[in-house]
Amino acid sequence: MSAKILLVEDNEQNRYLATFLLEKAGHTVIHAHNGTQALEIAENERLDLVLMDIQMPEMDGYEAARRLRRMSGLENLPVVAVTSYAMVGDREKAMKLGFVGYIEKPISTETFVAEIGQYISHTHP
Amino acid sequence: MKSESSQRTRYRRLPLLVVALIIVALVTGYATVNTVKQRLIASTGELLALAASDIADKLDMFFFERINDLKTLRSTVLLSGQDAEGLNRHLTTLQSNYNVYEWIAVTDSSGRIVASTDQSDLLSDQRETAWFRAASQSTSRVYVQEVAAPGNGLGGRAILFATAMRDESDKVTGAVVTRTGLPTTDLLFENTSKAFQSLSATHSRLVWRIVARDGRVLHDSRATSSKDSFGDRPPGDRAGWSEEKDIARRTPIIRGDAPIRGRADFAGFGWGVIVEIDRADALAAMHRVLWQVLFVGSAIVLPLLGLLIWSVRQLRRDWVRLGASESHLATTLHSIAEGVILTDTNGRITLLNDAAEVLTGWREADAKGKAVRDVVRLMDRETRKPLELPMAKDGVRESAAALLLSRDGTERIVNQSASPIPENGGVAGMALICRDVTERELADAAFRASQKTFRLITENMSDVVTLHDLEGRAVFQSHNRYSQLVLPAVSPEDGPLNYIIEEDQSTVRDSLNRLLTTGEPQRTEYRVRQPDQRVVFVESINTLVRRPDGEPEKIVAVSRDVTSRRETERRLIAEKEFSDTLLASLPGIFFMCNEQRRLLRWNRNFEIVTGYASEELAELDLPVFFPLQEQDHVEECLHLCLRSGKADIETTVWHRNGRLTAHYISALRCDINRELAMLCIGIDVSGRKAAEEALVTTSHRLEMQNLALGEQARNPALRGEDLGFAFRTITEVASRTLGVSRTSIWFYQRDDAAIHCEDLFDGPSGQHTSGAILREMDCPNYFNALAEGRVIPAHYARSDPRTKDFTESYLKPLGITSMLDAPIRLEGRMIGIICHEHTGSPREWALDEQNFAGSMADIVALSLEVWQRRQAERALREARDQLEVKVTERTRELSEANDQLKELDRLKSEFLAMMSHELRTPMNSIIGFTGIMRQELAGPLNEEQKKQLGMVHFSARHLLALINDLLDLSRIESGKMDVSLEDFHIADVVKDVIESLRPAATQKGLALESEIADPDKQIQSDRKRIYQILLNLANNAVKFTSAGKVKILVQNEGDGVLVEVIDSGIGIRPEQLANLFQAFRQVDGSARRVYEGTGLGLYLCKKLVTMLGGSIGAESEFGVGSRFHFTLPGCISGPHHHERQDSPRGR
Repeated sequence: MSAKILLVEDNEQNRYLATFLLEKAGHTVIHAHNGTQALEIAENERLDLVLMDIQMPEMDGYEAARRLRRMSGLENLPVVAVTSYAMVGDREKAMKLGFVGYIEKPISTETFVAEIGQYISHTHP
Repeated sequence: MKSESSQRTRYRRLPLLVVALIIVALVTGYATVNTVKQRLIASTGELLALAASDIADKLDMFFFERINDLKTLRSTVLLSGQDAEGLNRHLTTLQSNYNVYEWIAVTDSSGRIVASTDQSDLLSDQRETAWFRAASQSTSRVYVQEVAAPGNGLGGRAILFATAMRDESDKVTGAVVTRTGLPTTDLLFENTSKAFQSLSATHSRLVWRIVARDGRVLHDSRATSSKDSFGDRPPGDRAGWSEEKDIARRTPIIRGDAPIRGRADFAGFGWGVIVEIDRADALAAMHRVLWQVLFVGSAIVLPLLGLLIWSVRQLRRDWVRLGASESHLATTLHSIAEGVILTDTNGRITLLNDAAEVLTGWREADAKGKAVRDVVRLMDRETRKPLELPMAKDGVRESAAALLLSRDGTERIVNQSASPIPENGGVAGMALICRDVTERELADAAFRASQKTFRLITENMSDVVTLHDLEGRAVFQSHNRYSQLVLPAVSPEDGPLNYIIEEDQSTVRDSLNRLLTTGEPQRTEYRVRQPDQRVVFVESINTLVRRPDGEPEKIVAVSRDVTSRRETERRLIAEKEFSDTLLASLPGIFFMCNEQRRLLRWNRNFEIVTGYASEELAELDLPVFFPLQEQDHVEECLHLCLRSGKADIETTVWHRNGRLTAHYISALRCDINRELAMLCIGIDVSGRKAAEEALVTTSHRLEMQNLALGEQARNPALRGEDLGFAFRTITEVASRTLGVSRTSIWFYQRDDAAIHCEDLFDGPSGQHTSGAILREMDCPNYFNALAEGRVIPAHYARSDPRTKDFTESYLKPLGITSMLDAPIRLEGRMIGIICHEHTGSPREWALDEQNFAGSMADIVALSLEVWQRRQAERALREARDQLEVKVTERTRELSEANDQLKELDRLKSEFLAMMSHELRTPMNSIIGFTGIMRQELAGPLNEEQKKQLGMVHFSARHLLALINDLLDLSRIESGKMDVSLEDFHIADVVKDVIESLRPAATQKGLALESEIADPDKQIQSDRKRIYQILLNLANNAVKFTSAGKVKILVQNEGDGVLVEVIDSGIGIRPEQLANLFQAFRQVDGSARRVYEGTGLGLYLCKKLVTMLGGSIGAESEFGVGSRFHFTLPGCISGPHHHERQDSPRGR
């Protein structure tokens, strides 16, 4: 099923890469360059999934996720971390903050779509 | 009795029988003997006949031979002619040849002897002789004639044989004649006789005769002058025998005879031979045998006879006895006291004895024949109904006592028993016995009544009555309601006195003996063991019971349990002894007096103190013992005592010789046998007073000492910093308290070789000095004494061996007489002394004073200790203050350093994080886009493009791996490596690794195997890292193996695992093996192109493994293969948790 996915990534190439794969899979991808933008979009759009990078300027992924959680109506919005932070503590920290998933960069192009697919929750039919 | 008579008859018959037997035996014997005799005689007779025949035959033969001879002669003569000369010669020869011929002659026809053995015969005419005539008349027959022998010969007879000679014309030509005597008998007879003897087994004499027909004895073997015994019966025609009587001797003989029969041509003379033997001789053998038989028979028969006689005698005796017993029985029956009634089988009375007559009232004569029922009338005692008589058919039947009604109406109580009278297997009648038991029954009743009374008495007595036999054995004990005493009736096997305790048995035995000898009742006390094993004292009075004849029969004992009484007695005695001993042992005086002040009792001490003897004291009154001045006082005391029960007084007791001894007397009123008396005890208090005073002094002193000690214990001066001041205080106090002139404190110096005076207080002057030194070598004894570490109470210091060292130098000059030294101990070691010196007369240091000195020494020690402690405390405080300053400094320095480190650490973390991120981000693009393009998601590719993109992708991935490795390495180096622990199956990791490498392996044609010993093995470790390590090693293995296989082995090792990667690759040279796990070393520089890698892999592996608590190693054989292995613990010990933290360096 096609989903509307918010991709929060500050690096252009990474954005391009992920978007290419997701759109190839039939999903709709909305971009956000940082946490602030992500929040705005999340407010306005009906999203099925948020893919969030952690290392970002201004507001990092953790902060954004936290804020997102607190926004009304978005409690069930699945947020998956896509990050090059590959330390063990990072994963746990992410999970604690409400990320439902955690994907390490560099992503595997073969499996990426399937991986994020499992987290999609269709809030609209 | 029938049986009796039959027995008698039998008895009578027997001898007759025996006699008859004997007669029969005799008769038979006689007959037998006779028969035998007859037989013997007959046989002898026959033998004799035989012998006679034999002899007859012999004679016959003789004649025959003679006849033959004659015939031969005739023939000879005839033949020879009638030559006279020759004939004579011939005849002579013949005669000499044949002794038997008396005469041989030959005649001519006219009868003239022409030849003859007797020359005188010649030419004698014989014509007229009988013989000639006979011979000439008869033909060839021989004429035999018995003639008288001329003079000789036996029996005077001879036999003539003549025969005529005839010629052919049968004319007598002459005659031949011979004459013989009868043959010599002995020869003839000898053989016969021998034969006879042997046949008849007898040596008896045979007598034979030849007898002519007319009875004339021709020859008699007896060789006596033969008589003509015409009485001799001539033999018969045949041989035979007979019994005759010898005419001459008149003895019976057996005669055998036989006729001399003659032969063919000789008729014989009719002679006979008689052979005789005495019958006695004939029977001699038999007699002999008979005697033998007789002897043997007697030997057999006589004993039998004897036996017979004996048994006959026995029988006779029995018979006599039977007769006697019969009469005896009758007598008995009549004489016994019990009534005996005998009946026959019909119940009719056959006998009534005297007693029965009395009982039944019938006379025997009247009762005989009557039915027993009528005579013996029994009634039941209770019901008075008539009773049936007991009829016993077999065995004795007894009945209980019943009433017998006699003829005259008298009633008696009787016991009856009936028994059958046996006879010949059957019953001859019945015997009924009645016993008059009237008197006995009455006696029994009376006895029972008296027994009851007896029992009643004994049961209600308080004593126990027993009966004993003369040996003391208890045969009866009364049943007693009130006494518990058991005097057991012992079994016969036990000793008679067994129930008595052993020690007392002899006492009792003696008592019994006295009883038996004197007959007087004896009183004995002894102990008895009861059934419950208690021992009780028994007092018994034994009396002798005599039989009517005066002989002692048994002993009656009346016994009582006196245990409690004895107990009481014993206790009283014990009490008395106790009280006596008590009084005797009283340390003081004891006396007792009555209201009249008369002395009743006193003890030994009283005698001693008052100086009076025992006998005198009994007469004296109390006031005597007290001095006049005390009399009133004493009297007052006594009054008080009598009135109020007790009083006491301190007074003096007046000894006989006037000495007074102070006593404290305490008096008590008591009631003895309803008389008032006063019990007084007094103790000598003269010594006490002195003691009291001494005590007061001592206690005062002690008080002072305690006060002083107490004060000093509290004295702050002794706890202050000024030790000198403390010492000075102490010496002053000690001196004052003890009352000594000088007190000083000394401490050991120079290795205890000297003591140094710290302070010396001189009482009189009140001055303190110090500094003196006393050396050991100057007073060695003193130092030795000190070394013992004890208080030295030198009462007489000048002569005391311990202190006399300085008598001259010190004591005398200063006037010191006594010294008291006490050791000062600090921490168990003696460090000095406190010394007290006394001037004036020598003083004996009391124990309390010594103790006080010791206490003062302790106080010195205490003060010293306190002071020392204070010093120590001060030093400690200073040191601590200094230390604190240093510590604060140090802390500050550390804190600064710490801050710096923290900052450094933070920077490192930041850097690493940033590096991690910065390096990965471009990689993401490279790998990602090449990945997309290779997947042809961005459009189709040609082969070349695919190939080239593949190479780029491959390189990108390689680069990422290198970056990761570098990051890991830098993290490890900076100690920032994190470890994420989880429990996982090592098998899963191996599987993942194998899956990852499978494409590469398959491409190279290598087998990729795994062998996991324990598939369920779980370890707790960092799974990702282990995967990384194993992947590295396995990857290397695949990389360096061109053919063969790569095998991963996992086995349990201890708590953890051992993982091995074994390949059949190129292997590693030994020189390179050593450097394998170092950084930046490549195995084979030359092969770098083929085998890629930065050389970080193994170094990183080693670091990781070490970090995870394991160890890594490798072995290899160049050209064969390699084995890489690492171990991992089951769980990593140490504080690790999932958050990122610093790992300890060097792990």
